[in-house]
Amino acid sequence: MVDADPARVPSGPSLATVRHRLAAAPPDLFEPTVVTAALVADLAVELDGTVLDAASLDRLDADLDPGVGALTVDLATRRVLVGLVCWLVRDPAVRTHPGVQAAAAGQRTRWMLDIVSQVQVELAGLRPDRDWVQLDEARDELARAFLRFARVLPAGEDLATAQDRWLAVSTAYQRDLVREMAVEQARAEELERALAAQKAKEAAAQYANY
Amino acid sequence: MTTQVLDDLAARWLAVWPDALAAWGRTSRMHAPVLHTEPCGMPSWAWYTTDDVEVHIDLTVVAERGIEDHALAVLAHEIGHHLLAPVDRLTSLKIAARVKVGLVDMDHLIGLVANLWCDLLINDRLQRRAGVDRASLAAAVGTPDADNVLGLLIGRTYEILWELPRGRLSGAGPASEEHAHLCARLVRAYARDPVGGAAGFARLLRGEIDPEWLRAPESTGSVGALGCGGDQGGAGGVPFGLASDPTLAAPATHPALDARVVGGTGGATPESATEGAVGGGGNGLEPAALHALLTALGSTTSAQQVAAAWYRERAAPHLVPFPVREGPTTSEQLLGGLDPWEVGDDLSTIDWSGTMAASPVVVPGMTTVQRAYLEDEQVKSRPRPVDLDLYLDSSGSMANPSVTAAPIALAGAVLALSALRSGARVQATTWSGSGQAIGTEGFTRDVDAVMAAVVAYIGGGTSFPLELLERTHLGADGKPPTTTGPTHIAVISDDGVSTMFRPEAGWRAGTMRTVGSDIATRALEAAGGGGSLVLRISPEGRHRIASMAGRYRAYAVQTDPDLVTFARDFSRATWGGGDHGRR
Amino acid sequence: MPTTESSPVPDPALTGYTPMGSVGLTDAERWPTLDDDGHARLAALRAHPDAPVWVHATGDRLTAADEPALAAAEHGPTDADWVAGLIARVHGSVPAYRRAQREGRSGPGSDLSELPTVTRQDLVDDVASYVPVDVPLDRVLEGSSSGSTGAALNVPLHPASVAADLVLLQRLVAATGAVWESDPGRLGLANVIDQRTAFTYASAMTAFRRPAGAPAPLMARVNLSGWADPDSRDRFLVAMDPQVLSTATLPLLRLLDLDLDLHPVAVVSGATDLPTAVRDAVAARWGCPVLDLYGLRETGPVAVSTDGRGHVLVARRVHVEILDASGGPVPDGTRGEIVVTVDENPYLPLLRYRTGDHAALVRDVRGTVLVGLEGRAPVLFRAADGTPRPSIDATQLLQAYGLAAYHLHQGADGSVHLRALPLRGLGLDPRAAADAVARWLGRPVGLTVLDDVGGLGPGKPRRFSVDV
Repeated sequence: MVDADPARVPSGPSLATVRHRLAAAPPDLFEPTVVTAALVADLAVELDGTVLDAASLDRLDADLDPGVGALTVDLATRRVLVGLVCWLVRDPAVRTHPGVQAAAAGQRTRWMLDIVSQVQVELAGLRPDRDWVQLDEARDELARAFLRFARVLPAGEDLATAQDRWLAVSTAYQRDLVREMAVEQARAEELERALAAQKAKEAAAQYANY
Repeated sequence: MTTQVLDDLAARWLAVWPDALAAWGRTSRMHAPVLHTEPCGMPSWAWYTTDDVEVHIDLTVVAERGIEDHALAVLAHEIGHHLLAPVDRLTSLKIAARVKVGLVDMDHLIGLVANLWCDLLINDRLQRRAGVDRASLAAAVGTPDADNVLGLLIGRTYEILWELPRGRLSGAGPASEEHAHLCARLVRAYARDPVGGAAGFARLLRGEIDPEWLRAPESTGSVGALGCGGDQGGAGGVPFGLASDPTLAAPATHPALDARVVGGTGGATPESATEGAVGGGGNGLEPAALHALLTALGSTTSAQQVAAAWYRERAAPHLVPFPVREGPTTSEQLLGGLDPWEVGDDLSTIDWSGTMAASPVVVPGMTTVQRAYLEDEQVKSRPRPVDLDLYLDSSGSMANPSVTAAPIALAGAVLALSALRSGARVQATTWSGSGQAIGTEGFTRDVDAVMAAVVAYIGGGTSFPLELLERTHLGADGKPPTTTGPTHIAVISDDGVSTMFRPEAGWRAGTMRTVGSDIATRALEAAGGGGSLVLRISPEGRHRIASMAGRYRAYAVQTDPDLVTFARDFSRATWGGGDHGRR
Repeated sequence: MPTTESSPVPDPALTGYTPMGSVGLTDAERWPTLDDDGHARLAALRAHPDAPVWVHATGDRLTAADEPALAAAEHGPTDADWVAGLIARVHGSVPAYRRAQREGRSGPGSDLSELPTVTRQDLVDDVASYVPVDVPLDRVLEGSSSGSTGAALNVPLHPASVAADLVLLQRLVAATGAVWESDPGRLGLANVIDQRTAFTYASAMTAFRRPAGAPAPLMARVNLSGWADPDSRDRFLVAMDPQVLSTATLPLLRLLDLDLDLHPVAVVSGATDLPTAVRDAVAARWGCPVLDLYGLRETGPVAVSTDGRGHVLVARRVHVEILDASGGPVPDGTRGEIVVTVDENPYLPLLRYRTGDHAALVRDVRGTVLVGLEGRAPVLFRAADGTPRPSIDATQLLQAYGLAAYHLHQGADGSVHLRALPLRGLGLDPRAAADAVARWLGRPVGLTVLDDVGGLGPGKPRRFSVDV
């Protein structure tokens, strides 16, 4: 969405639609036994008949289903997010929406895989898995992230509003912002103390007058 | 605007009042709003008074600003001032005290910033939880001008809080996006703790907004025009609870460093976030700071009056228990502000509306509040206790009690107030050099007069007022003594007390010109209630004084806290009586 | 250390001038690299029978770690594109630019002309926003600067960048052909001022570039009005015979008037305009080069004039633009405000700093030259007894009494009037400032309290004026 021509970002499903769909996500998606790569592959077939080639499937497997023994916390989190994205894309109200169709521009599998990878990058590790479907503000964050990476605007919002609201709910943005502001504020107070210290007050010999 | 139109408007608004109360989820004993149909000349369409728990609406301004259809938003907001922030005058002043710390050197903005902060908490609660449309009211009132940097920041904060399109409330002017985000987080973090978040809010504004703009007289007006008029109650007195709160002068933590604000973002670990949160006793308001605060809020109370209230409060824990008092009367009671309800108070007096509004988790004695009712207290007459003739040294070596916490004034307050509480009469005198004495000039039960003498400051030389002692106990110029019963003579001083016995020695002690006087000795005999010299002095110094002080008992105290402890113990021994008090 | 009972009594508000009131270090901390011999020579200077009352003690604070920075100061910047590097760097480390990047206003690749200018007021309000977050603050020194609107500014300085001024002076003196070498028999440099109250101190110049084994020259900051006995002052100056006199126009004139037997290698003048007549008088008296140095405390040295014909940019990381009143660039040769970009002080890199001073910029064989530099003219007030009083003293007084901006005017009849804008919220009474001026001049002072800086008229508020 960021690199798209702002004037051409189509309007997609409403935020409420996506949020409700999340709230109704099946609990199975949180089970470690789910073969997430298979969810993605099946969805590709369903979307536009694409059968992922062997290399793509291998990559998906290696990335998302390396076997139960290799399941790290990070991986488990990413698998849940991918499962939820699949659940959202599968919603007829989403995939048949004209705005979504326009955004996918005939390459629906490509479009879906982009969302799958970007959502992982953006949201992995930010919240406990089940919060994404249970907590109001978490559902907001995932729903907005989904629509953003789906390259559509929430119904009834313009680009600037959508962008502002996304920043307001984005944990990562708020975290980085707050972290930088904390560094700067702590530094300002440290400088004030340093300048007030006696050793700073004594200053140093001056060689010229300004 | 015809009278008929305004009367109709009044009827419509009055009809909304129950809904406005219901927006806070409970019934309240607050009476109906005062709907003015004549211009009041106030800077806003609405204001409230914590003194008498009242909401005021100027309907002429409502009509003028075109917000006739926003009755619920306006009324529910004003109710919020009574139920959420600030609730009562004490909390209002606590918020203001914290704002003052955060503003550092901008006392003229305390009232405005405190009100903006309370408004943020109230409006966010109404908009997000009560379904009251504050956003439309704000939009109807109009957006701030492009140079109103404070108004823009607040407007943008509301937009972020309520997911409104950028510009709806902040207009076209530039607002610092990130500070608005921080402010929004601050509002949510302190949604139920107006006092806790006030300093951070002020600190944020002070740090991020051009000081020149903040100092410009027209700036405050441009911000004030956008919101409610705040607490327009009378100046009132100094509520009990300010002087002894150990947190009000604590340093302000910038929200960017406040773990409560920036925590939960999965990474930031602010270093100095606990700074100022530590209670202790070292961060209470000094008398001068309290006076500056009240002055900034428009109070005309003098520095001495504030100091008197300050020492009364600080002395309270040390006083002798009250004598037995009659049970409470059941006559007409008037709804006052909220006071803390403490463990031991009558359970039935808890104001649950106020309590729940202040905190959802009820901790008895901590979060509980009770309504204050105005009633006359009747003091039962008791057998006559010994009166107190009190002399406080106020020479140049002593601190000015109206400026900083002065142990000698606190000790004096403990003695004098204990005596008064037991029913005794007090003559209090603050003295310094020859002819320099300020006091009650006679024995009285008037607490204010006594406290005025206790907090007086002279700061001159050192010469005990022997003439006064003589007039009081021995009579002079043909007049009889002014005492009317057994009286205890108490002097709080340092080695300057020697001038009580050798008036010529004075500060030239060590020279050979020492002329003794027997006035003090004869006065003690005539007083008939004993005499004490409470001295900040070394043990050797005490011996020296004791050797010249005859039957006065000389006590040496080494530290300031010791002085107060002494005064407390002494008071209990002298005026304590039986322990029939409340605590 | 000599003491005397008759040191000038500072105004009560000038607590910073209490003798030794700002001293907090040991000599070992003041000159960490100075050897025993150096300390012994310094002790002798301080204890000289004719030495002034030393109102302060301070050193150069240099450690071995500062040597690379000082060595680099011996020549100009070697990287031609240091401005681009600075722009990239500040967007990662300086809060004001980090913020700009977060809000999409500028970035590491921005062109200098796209960045906003920075005013002195910006630094007064929030200097921390201009101090990089990644530089340890353990060596911060306070540099105070009086400004055009009167509000004092505390600039964080680094010992190495302060000492680099000395290395630059050495280079500038050498460029004139004069010889300035370590000479234990003379004072290496005297920083000469003439004020009612001022910090004075003796120091060793360990940064002075010299052959291995040569002793570090000594320097002293002395106040011509700081001796109880003028004869003592004259004996001291003659005995020390400073190699370089670093001063400003008014004290320089006074020095010339004193007619002492001095043999300066060079004279350096700063802070105020140097009239040609004064320059000529120095040449006639001492036959040495005169360097008119232009700079600000915030920026350090910017340009120097050795012949009175324009100020040539010094070879430091300093870049100058001339902007018009609306902030746009002007063609070379057109007058405008001098705007400086400088990357010398690790605590305060500045991009597009508005100096408030004006000049035209030309480029010729000498390099980049500021022509017609209009500095801050010194103003002399007349006290009731006829003695002249330089405006710098009034600056100190008025700032000490918390005035945000002011205009002090003396009429042809000698009457004095102060128009003052007090800092709001501090509860200060401008009358106290007027009273202090009255004590200073021995004359009654009229007072107009302003509530708006606009009351001082358009443009930069003039601080001082005198009707002749």
